[in-house]
This record gives sequence, structure tokens and C-alpha cells, in this order.
Amino acid sequence: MKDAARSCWNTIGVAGDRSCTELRTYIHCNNCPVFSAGGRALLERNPTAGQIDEWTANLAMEKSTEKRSEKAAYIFRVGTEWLGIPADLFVEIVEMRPIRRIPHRHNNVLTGVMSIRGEIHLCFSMADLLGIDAGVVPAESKAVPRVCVVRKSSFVWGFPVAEMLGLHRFSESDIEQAPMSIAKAVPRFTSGVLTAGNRKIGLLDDELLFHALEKYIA
Amino acid sequence: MIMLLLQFSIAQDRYALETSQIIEVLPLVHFRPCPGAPDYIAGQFNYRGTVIPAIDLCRLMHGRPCEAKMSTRIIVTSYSDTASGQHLLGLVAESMTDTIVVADKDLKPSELDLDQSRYLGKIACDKRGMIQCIRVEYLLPADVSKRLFSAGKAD
Repeated sequence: MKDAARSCWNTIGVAGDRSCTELRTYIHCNNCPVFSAGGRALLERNPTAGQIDEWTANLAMEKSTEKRSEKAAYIFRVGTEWLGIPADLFVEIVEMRPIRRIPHRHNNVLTGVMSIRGEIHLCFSMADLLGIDAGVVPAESKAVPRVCVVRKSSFVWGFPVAEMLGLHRFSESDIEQAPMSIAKAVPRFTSGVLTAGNRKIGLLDDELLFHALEKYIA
Repeated sequence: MIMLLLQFSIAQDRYALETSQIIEVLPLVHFRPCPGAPDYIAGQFNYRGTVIPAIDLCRLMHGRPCEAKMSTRIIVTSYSDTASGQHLLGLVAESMTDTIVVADKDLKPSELDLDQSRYLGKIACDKRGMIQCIRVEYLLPADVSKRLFSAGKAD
């Protein structure tokens, strides 16, 4: 009897016949103070044998500082280069679509405009901006080309990529200095190199990148 | 201004400590006894490589030690000794399972000013009754504080 009163959620609550009048106020036992008091009461038990020993031993050790992944980048491939752009700039990733060239303003980098959900946005070639040979495709690739849509200070840009790898989380300490092996123009725009699996990823510095792009629309 | 307090019990009464004063809340551990110290010094324990003393608040205010329950925990706080500066100090109390939010205008000063219990601070009232804040800086009498914390300096 006493047990039944203590676990009312099993008898008259949501796990029982739902006859409790308090349910009208709280909708679900989870919201009811009786239920939360029941949960707190579990902590009024005595610790099991050895538990205090374990806690004592655990606390005697230095706190392990877990690596926190506080940053994220979208990883994509252009030619043979894997690159990442800070995820907060990303608007969406869409299928490949026609790029309409802009008369008299056409060049290798500013390739034209494209329609994304009915909006016309500028489109640039990441490969030409960075000086990567986009024609080179790794042999194992069976990738689908996509268009990345990014927003930087009220400008929305689209750029085609050969392949998307997805979102990669990392922390500041995961960023390494760019080695010389990365294509020669890329280091100008990278803030460092990340390792995702067995891939080396050049993390693009969005400030430098979009500053360089602005030259083409000025 | 809104304050977040960690609530705990000493006997049947509820007390609280402002969370900004709390470094960490730990589960109960084994204490190494300090012979000769007042009985409310629960002992010392190894807090992540540093040996720090702990006060049993139940013993201090109510005369009996805290029960060894899951809800009995240690608050690690910073205690400033007048002579030797800041030190880590553990406070052991029971029923440490909840935090409460109080507006600081709802904290009423306690009218009593007893030398023996200067560590008792302002009082807030809610549906379940009164809850009183602890003032860590007055927990230890000067002579006890000196004995607990001066050893490190003498070495």
C-alpha cells in the first residue's frame, strides 16, 4: 500500500489507469512535482559498498580535460584538393544547375549567376580562385557534383564542388599549420590544415577568401 | 537581480549557497581524519591532486555528522583566510539535489547577529518554507582557520 502511494504514476498516473485528477493540470506525470520528488528520493539511498571508495579514487586523479569540438566546417573537394569552409557561412547544398554567364563581366573566377529557389545568386569557381586544376579527379571517386551556397556579409554565393564530404567538427587545437605540399595558391587562403580520417583538409579562411572575391564584383 | 542558489539540508532545515561561490560539487568521499581539530572538521581529502580540508556542516550546526547517502555531497568552494589568502575548502551537507532561483530583493537579512553563527546569512521564503544562505567567509573561527591553512606556508 505504502509503495503504491509512493509510485502513484504507476497506479493512477500515465503508466496506470490515468485516473489522477492532477493529470488535468500537469498533462503528464513527468511534469508533476510528486513525480520529481520521487526521483529525488532515489538519492536518499545509502551508497552501495565500494561506491565511496570509487569516488574517492576518481577524485584523487587529475581532471581529464576532454577535447571539445567547438567548431565545424563543411568539407568538399575541388579537383584533388579537400577543403573546408566554416559551417556558419553555409546556407545550403543544392544539385548542380546551369550557370548563366554575365555579359561583359565574365571571367574565370566570376562564372555567372544561378537560380537557387528562384533567387538569382552570384556564382564563382573555387578552383579558379584558388588555382586548383578542377579537371583532375581522383581515381576512386564516384562523387556527385554539388553547388555549395554560402552567405558572407549579406552576399550569397554559389560555387560548384566535385564532391561533398559533409560536416566535420573540430577544436582549435586540431588545426595544424599548412604544409608546403598543398597546392601553391591554396595556402594563401587557408588558416590551417585539418585531418579527417586519412584526408588532409585545407581549412579556408573566409575573410581572406571573400575579400579576394569582392575584387571580381567591384 | 536573479541569483541561483544550491540548496541543501542540515537536519530538517534548508540552507543554500550562491552558485557563483561554488567551484564544484562532488560525491561523498572518504576523509582522512584530522586529530586534534574541532569535530566539525570532517577531515582532509585528495581533490584532484590537492589535499583540502572539509567541514561537516551538519556537525557544525546540528551536532551530528552527515549521513552517508547518495544525496550527501561536498561543495568545493574558495575560502579566504585573512592571513594566508585563498584556499580550497570542502563543505559537506545532506540532500543536495536541487538548485533554486531567487531574486536578490527577496532575500531578507536575518535580524539575529550571533557571534557563534555569523556564517548564517540572508533568508528567502518560498512555498516550502524558509531557506537561509551560508556565508562561507565566516564559517571558520580565526584560530581554526589559521591552524588549517597556515601549515602549507610554514613548510
